Amino acid sequence: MSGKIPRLAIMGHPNAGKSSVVATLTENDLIQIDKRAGTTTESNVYPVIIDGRPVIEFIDTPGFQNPNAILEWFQAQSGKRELARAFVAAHRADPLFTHDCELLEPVAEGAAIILVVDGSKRIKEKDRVEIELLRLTARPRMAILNNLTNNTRYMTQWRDALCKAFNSVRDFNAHRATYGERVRLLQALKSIDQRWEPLVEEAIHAFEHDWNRRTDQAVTTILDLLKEALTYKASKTVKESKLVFESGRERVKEEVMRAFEDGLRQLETKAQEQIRANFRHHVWHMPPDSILGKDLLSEEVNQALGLSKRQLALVGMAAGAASGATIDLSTAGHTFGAGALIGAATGGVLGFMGSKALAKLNIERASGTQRFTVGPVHNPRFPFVLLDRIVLYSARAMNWSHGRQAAEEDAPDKVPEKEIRRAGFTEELPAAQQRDLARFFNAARKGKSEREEECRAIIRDILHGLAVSEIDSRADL
Amino acid sequence: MDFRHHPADSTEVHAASDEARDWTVADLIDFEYYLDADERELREHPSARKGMAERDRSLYLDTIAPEIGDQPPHTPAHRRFSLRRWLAARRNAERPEMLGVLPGAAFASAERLVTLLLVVIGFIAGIGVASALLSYDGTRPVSVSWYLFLLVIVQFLLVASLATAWALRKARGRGDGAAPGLLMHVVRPLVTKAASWLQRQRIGHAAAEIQDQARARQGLFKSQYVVYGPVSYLPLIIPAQIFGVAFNVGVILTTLMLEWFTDLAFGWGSTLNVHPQTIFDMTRLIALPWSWLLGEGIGYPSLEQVAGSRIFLEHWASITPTVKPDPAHLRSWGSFLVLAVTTYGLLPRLLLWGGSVVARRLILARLPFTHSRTQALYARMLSPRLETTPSGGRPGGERGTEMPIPAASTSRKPRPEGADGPAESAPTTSARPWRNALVRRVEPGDEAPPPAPPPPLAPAPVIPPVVAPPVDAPKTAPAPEPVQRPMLPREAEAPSTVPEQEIPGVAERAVDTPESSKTDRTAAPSVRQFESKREPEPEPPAVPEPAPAAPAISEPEPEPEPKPEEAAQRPSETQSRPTERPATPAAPAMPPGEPKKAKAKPAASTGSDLKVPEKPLVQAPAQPRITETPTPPPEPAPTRAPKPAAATPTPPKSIPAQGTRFAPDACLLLLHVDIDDILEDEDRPRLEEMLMHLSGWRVAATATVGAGSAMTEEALGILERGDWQAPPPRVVLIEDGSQPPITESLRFLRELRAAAGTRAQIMLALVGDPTDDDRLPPMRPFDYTDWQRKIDQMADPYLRLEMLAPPHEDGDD
Repeated sequence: MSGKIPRLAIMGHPNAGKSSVVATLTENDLIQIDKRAGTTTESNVYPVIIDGRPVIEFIDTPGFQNPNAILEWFQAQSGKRELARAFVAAHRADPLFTHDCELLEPVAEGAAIILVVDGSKRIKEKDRVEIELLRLTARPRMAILNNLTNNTRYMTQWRDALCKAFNSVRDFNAHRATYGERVRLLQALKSIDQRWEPLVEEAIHAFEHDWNRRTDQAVTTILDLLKEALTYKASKTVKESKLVFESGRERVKEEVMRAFEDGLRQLETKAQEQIRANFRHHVWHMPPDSILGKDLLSEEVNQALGLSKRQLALVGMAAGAASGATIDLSTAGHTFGAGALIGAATGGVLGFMGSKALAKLNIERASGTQRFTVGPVHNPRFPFVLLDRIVLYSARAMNWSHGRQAAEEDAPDKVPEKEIRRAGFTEELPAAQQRDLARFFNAARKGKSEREEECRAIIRDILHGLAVSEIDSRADL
Repeated sequence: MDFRHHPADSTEVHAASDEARDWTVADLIDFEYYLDADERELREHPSARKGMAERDRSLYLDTIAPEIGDQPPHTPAHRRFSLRRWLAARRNAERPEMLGVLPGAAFASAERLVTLLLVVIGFIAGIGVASALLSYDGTRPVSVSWYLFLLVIVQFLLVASLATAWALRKARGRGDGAAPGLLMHVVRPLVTKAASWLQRQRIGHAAAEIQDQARARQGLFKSQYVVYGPVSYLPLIIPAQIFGVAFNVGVILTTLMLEWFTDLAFGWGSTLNVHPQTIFDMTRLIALPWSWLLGEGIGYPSLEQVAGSRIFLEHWASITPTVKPDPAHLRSWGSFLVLAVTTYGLLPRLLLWGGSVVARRLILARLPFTHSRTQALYARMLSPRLETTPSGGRPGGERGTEMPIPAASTSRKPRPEGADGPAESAPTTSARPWRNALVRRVEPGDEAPPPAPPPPLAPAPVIPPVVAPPVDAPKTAPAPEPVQRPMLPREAEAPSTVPEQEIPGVAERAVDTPESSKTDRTAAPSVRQFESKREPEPEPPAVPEPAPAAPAISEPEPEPEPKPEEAAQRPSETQSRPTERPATPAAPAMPPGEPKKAKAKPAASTGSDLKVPEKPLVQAPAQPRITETPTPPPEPAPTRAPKPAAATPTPPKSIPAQGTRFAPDACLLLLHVDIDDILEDEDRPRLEEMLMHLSGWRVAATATVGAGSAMTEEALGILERGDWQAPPPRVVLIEDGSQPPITESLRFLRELRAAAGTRAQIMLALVGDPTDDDRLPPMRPFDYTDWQRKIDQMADPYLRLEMLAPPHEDGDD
């Protein structure tokens, strides 16, 4: 069985990004990657196992150490058929060739080849030697132009050089590859060897399934977060004797408020962790100026995310109208629609006014004690901000490729992140969906569930759009 | 039966039902219970997701998929069935003691218990009501009107209102939420209470530690009447219908009993002046459903009987019964009443009962199972389990070795596989088509290595810039231009492969060399000749200590090396080689033939300039391009100066025999092909200037390295053959520092060391990745440290690592 599954040796010279490609393809950020050359010192097999059955194996190899020598040896032995095997056999014992044997061994055993080259650099002699010697191995092979920079001037040269010797040549930025690009690369594997089609297809299918499942999971996490955050309360009971002075009262108020805010932050952090685990990230760099690094309740975040004031007012109106309509119903229509009007008016006004305070403070007096309670959040803007932020986080988790751990974020002319648009995700939704969200939030505040399925669909659509790059992931936000 | 114990047979029922494909309400409750348990676990330990996905997927693959046949997934049937089987599997995984405590089981028992209770109560109530209504003390006949009103009309209205409510809910499209009717508020808490009581009882029976009560109860309560629309209240309607049936049965049985075993007199009366005809019509109307079977007089009383059973209070008040009612008339109502209760009380209840049972079955059979929790589970079952964790590497799991660092060798050894490396050179050269292609590609293009194209054609102009600076800068500058020319020939001699027709002068010479290199056999010698040439040189002229030493040692080495490898493949060569090799050093005599050739070459190439060699260089790794500075000749310079002129006609022997002469402050520049390829002519002076700055050396000769062993041989040949004025040779190697060092690079350094001697000063200067405006840019500090680590590991005290250009001060990278 294992003889028949596609085995793909990822080859290239040291530091070409082989491990990054494997890490990204297999979503495994535990693969050792370092920007220093020679991190991979032996061939590691990273199988894709579906239901306990390996379907594809990616083999991460060390870099070529003696390409010229190998090529010359190959050329000298040009009569032989299994060059790679012969080479390994001949050089097993030579310590200078440990890496080369290590990397040619999978090829000797029949693995296909994926050559990873750095498309941002000029073609060097070594590259040509490697291309040629891989050609001589006569295995099915594919080349990946791993261009981490903006520099595309050599790409055509690379293409020309690679096309002569490789069945297929693809661009793939191992540090930026999204889910969609990954799947496309996998699709391309089919073209290397037709016999693999069913297995590769199965792997792709599994990847897609897995991805959808994770997306759904993320949506559930997000909805749970919203529901929890909107019903969250913090309270503190204090003896009246401590409240004699105004300062004491103020302090208690502050404490409760802080506890409330921290509680919200914790909820968010917990959800973020779940999402992160969901998308299998262990290593993670956050640009220092990211909105995600800012405090959830800071003005900056509030500015950048959520709905605009106008939208909020409109949405508030709609949600208010809904509650007005229920009043209408309960009063058996005696108000003849006046209820709807009144509801709409108050809703709209709250939309404006309510953007100041996050939540109300309630003080209950009992004998000798007072109970300070903050929450739940009644600021109509807050849930949108929270939603935007968690979606932003998810976007990052989804599109942060696993091979990126060693990325030099300050490397010269790396592919720039897309242009920053200081706008959240919810802002761009159609008004009807915004209204659905607003209703969901309103109901969630009361601990009820309304329009949950609609909101689930909305969020799922956003996440899906992010994954296939239809929606800008606002990676810099 | 004792409901407090989970009946043994009910376990069997479960075991049997585990093969079931259909859902029951109890199944739903258990299902929700398990879903809830899973969800809670996920919430508490998000990491449990993986295990859960594995469990569900393997459940699906191992047990469900084989049973399900080839139903396409994502169809309602498939979903329903697989979820049902999943539930069965989950239940089967429970310990047997647990089965009874599962909320579903508790609910089922509770439902049975409540139903039974309701039957009993209903039956007793029926008996009670009927016997109360039918109490006949022999004086006053039983009132038909009361009986009819309470047991028929009221009951019928209840049923009708229930039916209309139901129909209305259906029509309005809701009814998923709360259970309808007050009745549900009675029955539901009853069932709930009963179920939790039962569960408590059972938990008590089933050892406390088996199940923590709280969990079970919570599961029960939370999942009792969840979603699932009508299914949630049907279980309540059904017991209610059963109650009604039991009640009616009680009533009917009581009525029949009393009629059979006692003598009952029925009558009717009214304060109103009602004509018996009216009563009769009403009776007939009521009896319509059965009048076709049991007609007047049997199924319902006749007009006469109705009239006869009218009760006038004054008859009874005045004890003198002037009109004695006919007993037959008074009895005539009996069957009518029974039939009425049966038709309007019992039958509708039976219909409702049957209807709700059917409805429940239908609803259960059509449950879509699409709410999100189910969806997640279903997705877990269908999604192939995807793992991409490494298999743990090789057995033992030890890390592989770091990049191998070649050991120091005091002597020069040919590359391992290349024992016959020189011999191989011919095929090698031909096997690097891109070297040719490069040139070709470059020529049209503007951006690439221009060294090759222009120079040969326009020799003179180009040379001066290259050569001049070094010449001037240092001391000697006897005759720059003239000297160059003569030197050039020497370089030209070196290439075994030939610059092609481009250079007319070379062409002739080219003719013979290619021939010689056509076959390996012939090629090998040709290359070797160079070596031989070189060797003699060091000995006679410069004869510094290192130089001779190197060649001397080199001989023994090559022999052993080739043997092991070649022994297998080319025994013949092995033999021939040794003989040849030893010859080279010892016998300068052997080479004479070659020197001649060389002589010829210089002559040919005189016309061409430095660039000539470059051409071949590009094409074949074999050719060393020796751009010679005119400087080399400190003393000899004068003598040679004339030669160049003469070279054309007849090159003096001494020249070929000797290598390049290196002044005390001159060095051999080895340029990696990658850099050489992109260098423009105007860069070369700059390069030399930079070297001057770094080391204080002038460049006496230049060769390229990095494209194969043959090229290396040539380069080292120049070194070994060189006429070093101040003994320890000075070599500068320029490499591309933007690529990490690999074994190959280090191995070349070792070879270089071996060729140059242990004390030779070797400087490795690194260049960054070239850009358009700067083809010799500084390298990034990071790359530098990378190289530094490796070079340090080589532990070569006479090897110096430098950046060719100083790093940017602003340190932007």
